[in-house]
Amino acid sequence: MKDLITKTNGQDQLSQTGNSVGNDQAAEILIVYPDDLDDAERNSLCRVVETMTYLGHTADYLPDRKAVLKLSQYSAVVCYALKDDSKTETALMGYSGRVLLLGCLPETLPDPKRYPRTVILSGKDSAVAAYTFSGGNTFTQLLALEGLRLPQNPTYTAGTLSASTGEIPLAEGWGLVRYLPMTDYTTAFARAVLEQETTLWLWPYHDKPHSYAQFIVLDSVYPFTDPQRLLSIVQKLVREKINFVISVMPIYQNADYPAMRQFCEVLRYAQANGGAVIMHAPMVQGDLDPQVLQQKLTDAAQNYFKNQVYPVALEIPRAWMYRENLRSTLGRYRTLFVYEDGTAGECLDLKLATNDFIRLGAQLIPQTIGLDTTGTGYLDCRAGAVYLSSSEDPAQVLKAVSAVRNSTVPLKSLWDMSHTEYFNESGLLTWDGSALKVNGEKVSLNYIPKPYEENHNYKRTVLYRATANLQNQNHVLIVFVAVAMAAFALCMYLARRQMHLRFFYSDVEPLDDNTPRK
Amino acid sequence: MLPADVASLYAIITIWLFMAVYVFLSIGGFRYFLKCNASSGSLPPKDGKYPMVSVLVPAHNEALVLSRTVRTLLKFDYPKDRYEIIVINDNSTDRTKELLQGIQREFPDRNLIVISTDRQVGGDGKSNALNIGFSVAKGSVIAVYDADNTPEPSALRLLTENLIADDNIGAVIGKFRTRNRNASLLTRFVNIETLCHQCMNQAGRYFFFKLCTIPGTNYVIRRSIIERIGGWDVKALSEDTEISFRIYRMGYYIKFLPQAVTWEQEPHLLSIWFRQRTRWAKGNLYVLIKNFKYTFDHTAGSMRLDTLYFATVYVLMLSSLITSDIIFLGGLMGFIHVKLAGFSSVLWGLAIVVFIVNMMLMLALERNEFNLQSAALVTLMLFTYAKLWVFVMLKAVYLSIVDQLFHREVKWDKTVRYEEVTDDENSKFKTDVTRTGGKQ
Repeated sequence: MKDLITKTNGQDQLSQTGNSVGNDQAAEILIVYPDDLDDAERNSLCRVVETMTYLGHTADYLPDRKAVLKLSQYSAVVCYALKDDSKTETALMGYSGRVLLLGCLPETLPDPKRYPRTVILSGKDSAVAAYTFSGGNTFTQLLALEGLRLPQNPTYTAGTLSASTGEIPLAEGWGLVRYLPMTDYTTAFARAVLEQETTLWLWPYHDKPHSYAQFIVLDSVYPFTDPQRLLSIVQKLVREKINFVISVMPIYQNADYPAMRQFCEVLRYAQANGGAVIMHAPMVQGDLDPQVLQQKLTDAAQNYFKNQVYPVALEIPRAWMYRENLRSTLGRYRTLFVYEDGTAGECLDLKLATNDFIRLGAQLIPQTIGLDTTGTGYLDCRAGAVYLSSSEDPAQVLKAVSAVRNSTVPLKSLWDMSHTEYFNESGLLTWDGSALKVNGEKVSLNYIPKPYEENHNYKRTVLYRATANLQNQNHVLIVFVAVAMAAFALCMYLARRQMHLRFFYSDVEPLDDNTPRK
Repeated sequence: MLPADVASLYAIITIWLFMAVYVFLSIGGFRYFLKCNASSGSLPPKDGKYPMVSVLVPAHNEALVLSRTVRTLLKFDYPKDRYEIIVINDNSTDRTKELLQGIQREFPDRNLIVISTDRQVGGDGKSNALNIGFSVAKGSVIAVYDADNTPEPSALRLLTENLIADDNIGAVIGKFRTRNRNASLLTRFVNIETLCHQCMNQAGRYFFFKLCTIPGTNYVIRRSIIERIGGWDVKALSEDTEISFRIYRMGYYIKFLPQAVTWEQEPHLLSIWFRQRTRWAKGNLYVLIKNFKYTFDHTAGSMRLDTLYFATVYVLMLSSLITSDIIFLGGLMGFIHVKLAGFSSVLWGLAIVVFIVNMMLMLALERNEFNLQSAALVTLMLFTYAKLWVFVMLKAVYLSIVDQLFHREVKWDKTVRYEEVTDDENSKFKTDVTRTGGKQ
């Protein structure tokens, strides 16, 4: 087995030669999960896979029964929540690579040199976990654990676990083997610990791993956002010399409307003063057609370009990382921000069995793990984006910005990275750290105020005006219907009344009985 | 804006405009019916002299229904020596002639004239038959009844009294009812349609604009008018609409008198109904094309409103209904997506409610028609019977274009009659009667 250290997309990456699941290119890590995975475990497995993705490692994930024969093909193995009778764990005895045990530690493993003996402290128990992240920030969380096991003679420990039976380390390690007792990685605390410990576990050197920065992102900024409000936030950030990113919503039409122009005026000002603009993913309901998505992105990009605003990256929901059919569309962007979209483990495709999204080669900037209410990142093992809502009170936004700024994880400008974006079949936007080019031509980021049109011609035909007023027309129609109904009800009453008064009036057809009725 | 949005907007605006027009006409028709229902409609001549009336009955292979019709006409309470019945036995190949001869023998003292035509002079449709009958008519007032009609005894008297009471009236039309309304679901629909049509379109237009259209039966007209216009237009399949426009242009108006009632047999099979309605629609298109130029003629009087009304119904209404149906079906199948702001099913729901209540108002003016069954039928016919109108119109347009392109002679498609068992008002039909064919 041959370990290689490669530098891919600005992040250190371990890779290993060999075959992996369904891909010509080998994955570095094999994640083994129980054969009978339940929903809660699936959600956590999704987070484990995601952790590898965010840290820039290729990983395959296989169930216990399939993984046992493939261990030797990977340079690192993660055992997630495996049962005591796991065949993979038994097979680990002959495996010499890195091993991360998540919530599973067999009582007896026949390799005392490599694996510890374990003492079971208790069965089901709860414990307070504490862990110190970057800058000495310690966070705690109450954990419910299936069983507390105490490995003997660890060479590495981190964090603490305080249970009724006493205090033991949260994370422990013996050479290339590392152990975390949790199986639930859906909580922010557990995810943060996992990311930190995985980074340290995979780091091949004795010194500390690289530190990564965080980005402030003003999220979901629409053209109908009050431009003055947005401007006041931007001006404050510019004055304070704080790097920031504005994530704008895609606009498909009416890019020449005054509202859009005013909005873009603020964006241009931000762009010229250290702020970078990225594009939020289109909001799509129902099935997402890649071609439709591509067209929307193209239209939106060009509408912003028309207003000298240049989104240099795309912000996508987390679930899109698992969509195979979006690979080609997302592959057009070198820089991708990933935000938490509220989806759980159902987005993880177990059949796919690999996090091949990472093979797009994009610079991933996932949302930071919010260990407190400010959303500030306390992890420097990967880049992270702190999302701030532009619709909130500017004072609150600035307070959150201040918290981020005071964090030990440094803030970074998006302009410090290179970006590439194929916004349509032949259109290319590039930023190489010094010049922004659209289709090879340099474009200026300088802010030059533009006069507003006093009387914008909306080019609205009679048809457009009628459409715009249709909702008001509805009210007219409802009134019309109400009046008509009232009139009809009155008429019906009068008709029936007259009918009753003329009860003996006959209008039936005269019969052929030679005595026609009158 | 997408084409589907534009089309939806067009359909919405047009349908609601028509809805408003129909509500307006319904209120007018209702007020007129209420007024008429409060009186007998009788206007006896001041001098007590009733004019001579010639009752024309064109008949082509009408043996199944004609005997009953003629016997009913003989029972008019109009002075017997002041009216004559002229039955134009128009190239019939069935027992029509023998039946009429039998009735003549039975009522030797009555003015019952039978004109039997052959292929040389007859068999060219209703207009031609009416012209033949008119050529021997003696009356200063001409009445027309279809061969399947059983008018009430007072019908002729009421119509004639109202005609001679006002020199500005060119013709007076009565109301027709469905004799076989319970024969099938189709005849129930037709019954509701005819009642509502007469209340809304005839009475409503008459109430507001002194406009109504001769329905082809149960009407009287001045002889002088027929002479001046040179008889009925033999090219017109809707000779009634055609002659209505000509009366307007002469400066007369047509009065609607709902107290003068006739009962007629309506098609109880869809195929027959479809042919009959296609003929009517084709005839109306012919009349519309012929008279549309008068819409812009200041001298044409109130008729301009009618030509405009007909044009909007046949162009705007038809196209908007087709558009709305295509959008509805396309939407169901997922082919069409309307993104119009404010466009919602609430709009359609409101339109349906207005339609149903509007129809029920018309039925409230009739005995034994205003009930839950009728409400259910109205709802059902909105989604079934009413939709057939679109197909009728499309076929009529297609046939009209084909006739024009290939210079085809206009053919009269006779409505097939059925023998009725007259044991009660709600006649039952013998369904084994064969279609007799022919042009009339």
